[in-house]
Amino acid sequence: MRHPVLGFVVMIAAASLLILPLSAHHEITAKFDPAKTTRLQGIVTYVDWANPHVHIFMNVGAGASMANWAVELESVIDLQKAKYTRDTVKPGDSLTVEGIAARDGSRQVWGNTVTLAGKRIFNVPEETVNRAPGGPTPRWPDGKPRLGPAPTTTGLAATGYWARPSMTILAENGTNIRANKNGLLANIADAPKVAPFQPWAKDLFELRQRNRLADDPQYLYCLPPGGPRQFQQPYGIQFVEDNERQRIFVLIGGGNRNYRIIYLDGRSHVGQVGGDDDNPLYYGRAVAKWNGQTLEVDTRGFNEDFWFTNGGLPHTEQLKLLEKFTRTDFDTLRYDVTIDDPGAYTRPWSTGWTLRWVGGADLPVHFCQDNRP
Amino acid sequence: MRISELPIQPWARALLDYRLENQLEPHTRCKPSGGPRQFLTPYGVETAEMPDLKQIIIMDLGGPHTYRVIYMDGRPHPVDLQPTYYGHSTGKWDGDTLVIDTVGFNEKFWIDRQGTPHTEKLHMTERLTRTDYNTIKYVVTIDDPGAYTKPWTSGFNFRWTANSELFEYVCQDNNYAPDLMVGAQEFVDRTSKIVP
Repeated sequence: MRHPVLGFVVMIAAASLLILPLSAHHEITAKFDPAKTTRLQGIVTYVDWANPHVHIFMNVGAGASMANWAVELESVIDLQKAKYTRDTVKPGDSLTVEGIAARDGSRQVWGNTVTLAGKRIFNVPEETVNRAPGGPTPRWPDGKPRLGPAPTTTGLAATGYWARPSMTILAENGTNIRANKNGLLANIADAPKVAPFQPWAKDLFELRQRNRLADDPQYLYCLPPGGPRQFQQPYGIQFVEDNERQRIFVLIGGGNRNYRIIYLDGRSHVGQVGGDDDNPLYYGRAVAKWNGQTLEVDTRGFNEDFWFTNGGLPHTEQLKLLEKFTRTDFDTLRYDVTIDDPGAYTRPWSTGWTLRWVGGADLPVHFCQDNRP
Repeated sequence: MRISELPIQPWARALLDYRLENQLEPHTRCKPSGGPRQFLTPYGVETAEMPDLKQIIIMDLGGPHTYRVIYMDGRPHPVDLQPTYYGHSTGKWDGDTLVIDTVGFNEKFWIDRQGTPHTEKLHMTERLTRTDYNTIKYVVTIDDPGAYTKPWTSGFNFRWTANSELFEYVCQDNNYAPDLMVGAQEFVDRTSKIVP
């Protein structure tokens, strides 16, 4: 079957053969149509080795019908973890790509399988997450738990971060909602059960879900993952506890490698000294205190320009968060959050999940802005 | 150092001339900007010195609200380094001077505001000396055999800003780059070798 215009391109609408990517950083089905199964053979012209998604460009077809296609793959971080590099394919290489084509009809395909000289490349195996209990919670000399790394005995810098959230959507405690890594519901009929929405907020949430999260500002504009969303990122978060200055930096692995500051110096929710006064912010204004083994963080002053959760639950400038961080053992961080936003919800509501320690490394370097021009 | 004194290779000189003319700096499109450019934003930086972690973290105010890590544990640079905006930095104290050694840069940013070129071969040495309470003397040596005929050194001073602290500046707040993304154009072209 050879399309007269598309050359070697073969498009088969085969809804029964859906192969979906495992860990993409935006909702792949927002941009690509799983029903548009596509097979391309072509010659590589350019490799754009950049986060959040690598693109391989290749010429498909010959003569007047030759066209340049963009093949979208996982992130640099995921591909490097699977031992691929920017030199794995080079201009001039002949590739076979099986994947799904863009909904908008542009010459773009999500590469499910890529084959070079008969060998499959760029496959990223799914990680298995060990959730067995770890060793004892590391502590500061005064007995408070350390949320970040503890000094080593080897002389090496202390590193480590939290990743692999056990829940990737914000759904109220007690609900049993299935969603994928981006917060896309398995069943849209579950939408009203996710949270005690006000009617407008439920409608907006359902609209974002029906659009397959295509208007997610974190993907479209690289806007920051403020609120609980920073603890749902595929690359995790890192705490840097600056006791001398009574503040904790939360280094954020998704988005643009941002940092958020949590103050423990007893200040109230006012604008930072000499800074941004009372502007509504992406990360809000966070003040915290220890309550026993738990760090309690009270954050307000958010703007409305971003999604504060995976999956696109709405919020307003009235949003107040109470976040609780408990390191229950060396390898486990319990995160609980109460959402108090009378602008979008009928009552305060709570949820939570755990994150898993990744030792001996700092956050992978991820800039959303990287593959933008 | 004057531009005319730079030991610059002809291709890099041509690129610098193009950039001086066009001024399409990646920083203005919210790209992170490493090298000396990290210190050349209007709002400055703050350092978080974490001696027990053996790291110094430099928090940026300008740009995409990000940070740079300097490892102070004597580790070598990794051999399989993938190029990044900030490269891989190790530091040590030489008397009262912090000496930072950085390799592994990508070529997607400018190292200063005028567009002085660099390549992935850049090996940068920075020397930071707090000469008095209000002043850090910053001296940087650019060793990049891909763009220059010999290493060269330049620098400037940082000034302390009292009674201030980090605040939220997010370049992407006003981000129009999606217009230029793959898929936004009918014809996809990423073949230009010049980072504009």
